[in-house]
Amino acid sequence: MATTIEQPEKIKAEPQLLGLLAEFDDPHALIEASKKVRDAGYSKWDTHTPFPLHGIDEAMGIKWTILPWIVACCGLMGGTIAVGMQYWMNAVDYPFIISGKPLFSIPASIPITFELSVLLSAFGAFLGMLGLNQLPKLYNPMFKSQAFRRVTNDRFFISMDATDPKFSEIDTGEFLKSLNPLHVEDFWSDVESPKLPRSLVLGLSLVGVLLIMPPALVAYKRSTTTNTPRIHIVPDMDFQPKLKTQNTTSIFADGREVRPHIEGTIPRGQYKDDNIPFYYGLKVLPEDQDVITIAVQDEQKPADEKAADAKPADPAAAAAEVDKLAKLPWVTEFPMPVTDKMMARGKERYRIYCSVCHGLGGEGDGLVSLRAMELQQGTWVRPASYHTENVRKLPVGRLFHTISNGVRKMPGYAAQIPPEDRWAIVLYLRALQKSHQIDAKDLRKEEVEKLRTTK
Amino acid sequence: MQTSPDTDNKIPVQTLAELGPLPMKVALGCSVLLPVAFVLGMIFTNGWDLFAFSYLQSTFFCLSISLGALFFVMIQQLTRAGWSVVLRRLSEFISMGVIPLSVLVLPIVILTLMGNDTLYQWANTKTVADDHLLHAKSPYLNTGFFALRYLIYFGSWIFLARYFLNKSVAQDATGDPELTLLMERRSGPALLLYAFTLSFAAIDFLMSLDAHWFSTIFGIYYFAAGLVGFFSFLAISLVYLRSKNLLKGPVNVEHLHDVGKLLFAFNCFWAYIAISQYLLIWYANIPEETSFFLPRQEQGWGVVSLTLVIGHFAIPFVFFMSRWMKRNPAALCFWAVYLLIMNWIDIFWLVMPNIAFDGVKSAVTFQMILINVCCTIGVGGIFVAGILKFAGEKSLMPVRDPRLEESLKFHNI
Repeated sequence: MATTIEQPEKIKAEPQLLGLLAEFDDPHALIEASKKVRDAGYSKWDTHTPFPLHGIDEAMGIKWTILPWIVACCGLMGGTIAVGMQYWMNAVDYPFIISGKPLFSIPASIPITFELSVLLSAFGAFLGMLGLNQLPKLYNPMFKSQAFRRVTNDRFFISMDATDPKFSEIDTGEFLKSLNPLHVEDFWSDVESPKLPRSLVLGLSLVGVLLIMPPALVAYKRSTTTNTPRIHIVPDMDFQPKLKTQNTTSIFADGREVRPHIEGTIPRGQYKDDNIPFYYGLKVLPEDQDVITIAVQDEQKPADEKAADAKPADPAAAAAEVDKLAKLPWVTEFPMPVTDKMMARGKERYRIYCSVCHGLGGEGDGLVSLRAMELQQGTWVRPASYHTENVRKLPVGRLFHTISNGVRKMPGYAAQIPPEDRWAIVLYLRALQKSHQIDAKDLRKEEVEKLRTTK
Repeated sequence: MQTSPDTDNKIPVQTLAELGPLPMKVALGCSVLLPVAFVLGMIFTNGWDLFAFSYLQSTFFCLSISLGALFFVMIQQLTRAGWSVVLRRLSEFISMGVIPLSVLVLPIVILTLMGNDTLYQWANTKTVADDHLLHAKSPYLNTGFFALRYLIYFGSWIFLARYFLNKSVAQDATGDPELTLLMERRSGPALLLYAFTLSFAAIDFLMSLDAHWFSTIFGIYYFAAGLVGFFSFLAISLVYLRSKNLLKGPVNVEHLHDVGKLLFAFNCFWAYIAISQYLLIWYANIPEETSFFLPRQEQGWGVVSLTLVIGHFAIPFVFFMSRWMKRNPAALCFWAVYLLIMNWIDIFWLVMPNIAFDGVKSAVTFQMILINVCCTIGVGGIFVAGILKFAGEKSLMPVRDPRLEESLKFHNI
């Protein structure tokens, strides 16, 4: 056996004495013993019990934990992060006024601050507790002691750590014996790691291989190409046997999925020729049907666009469109009965759809407009006031057309507002215009009085 | 249920009478300040309004303490709590404070019934007729119904306080555990009655001072304020009684610790309720809702509001959280006194900003504070004297309660 001598220091590390273990069978004895160990001046030692013992902290002279300070620091950190984050997001990075509130204010920040403080406090408490207790710790050399196994059942232990400056094997052993334990034993560092059971190694390897497989598959699939369709785990009615727009098909000769109107037919709900004034604001349909849907496009160029880039045809085209529209046979009377109900409806709809830009009084001072002006948005065209001579002279049909198809920056609202409501808005608009034109002499006395006292 | 036949052998019966006549004399002496406040009210300009509001503030400050005690007694019975048995009798005594307070509140009700609108603008029929909103609320807010509800509220509270005290005292004589079971069964419905009467009383007497305003959380706000007041009062009483060698053995530092914990917890609860009420109103920004907070930010009231935010919540939250603060009787007593004062400021802040002279809301003035402090000490004297009177020769501890043993051995982990 000469070969064994060749690598002695690698195989056989000297086992180190790690400490002594004293066993008790009574919690009171443990507490009494703990008091004596505490008074003897040892600093690195511990007690092990199957259940929490009242008074063991005092008996061991354990200082109060610093965990509250960790929790407090984490909580304060959470609060600071929350306030800072909300300040940055709301007041600096994306300032956006919501219902007239200040960009940053303490009351609005309180719920988030509270939540984040609590969250980080909880993290601090949980992780701090684990850290202070040096957990998770799966193995302790004391576990090798046969007697120590009963620590989870009915035995109580004091362990003395050999790294304690007061520790000496003989004196400390004698001292422990003087505490009247059942017996005292020593525990040593491990010379070699205990072998894992074969079945556990096998099982863990298997789990490891299984864990690697999904990411490996994903990596493989991401780095290669394939002709087969991707795997669709939850179909969610994503695939339906129907024809859609913008696709091709072999069913029809022209290959289009979306079909053109069949000549000589009208789609359901689209027949409007029986009431042209109501649907178009025109007395009769003109020859050139395209004018029905045109809108006067922007005549103003954005400030940053160079004059050379501007298409010279644009202003001319806009002017031509204005001309075309001006010549159309607009209706000048409402094509539906004018009632109080219609006026109320018009007011309501106006306030919903129009007032944000045009303002409640129709002077072009809506909130959106004001804000755009304040931010000096280059592309913004301030909506025209209704109370100019030009707008006042426009026939109702023309106003209706403008709401339907838009003008300049204003988009057409035909899709959002049904024709009845568009007429109602026109009616309210007329009322607004009239309200700015009225002569004080035409008012009744009470009305003048009321206007005077209204602030 | 644990019963201990030899419990009554070990526990000496102590009563508040052992304190001698001094506390009663001091309490009655303090009550002299109530007429003083009244006279001051006669001297100062607008002093009658100041006195009326101060009187309401003082009575409802004391009432909040008694109602907190009543809640504590009932919730301890309902949850079959063992730890609190040694404190329960003292709480029952404090809850009996509703009886002197019912008498003290009576003048407010009678004056309102006579149509005096110093406190409640809805008591004036002319104001109600001119005011659309008050008119709409008049089926509820009218003097007759108000007086009827006063009877219901105080009747319920007096009944509950007397019921739980009498059953508990009866057990001292017989030691019958059936009485404990009976109180457990009754405390559930009793708490329901309590919840409704307290919420509506807070609405009637305090919230309707500004009858245009309403907050659905107001009842809970007053409840939270009351519990802070009660636990402060309880902690002060316990520390005082222990210093006079009463309850010194049974009530140890573990019980004080728990009272401190509850005081701290309900202080946080108060802050939570207060911010909940504020935040919604702040967010919605509806004129009829902000009318509560706006006057409380102007004319010196902003300082009071900030005092509440910082003094009632932030400072106790930081410094009163520590374990040793609750386990050290002197420190606990300091915080209890501090929070009782903060609770007083809280009720002051609820009531006093409603004073308006000729439609102009009043600023915080020295006269106002002077009258209010005198008035509170006066009413507080009567309140404490009433409690001492009702405590009389009754034992200071439920000496034959079946859970007494558990309470005596109580230990915080």
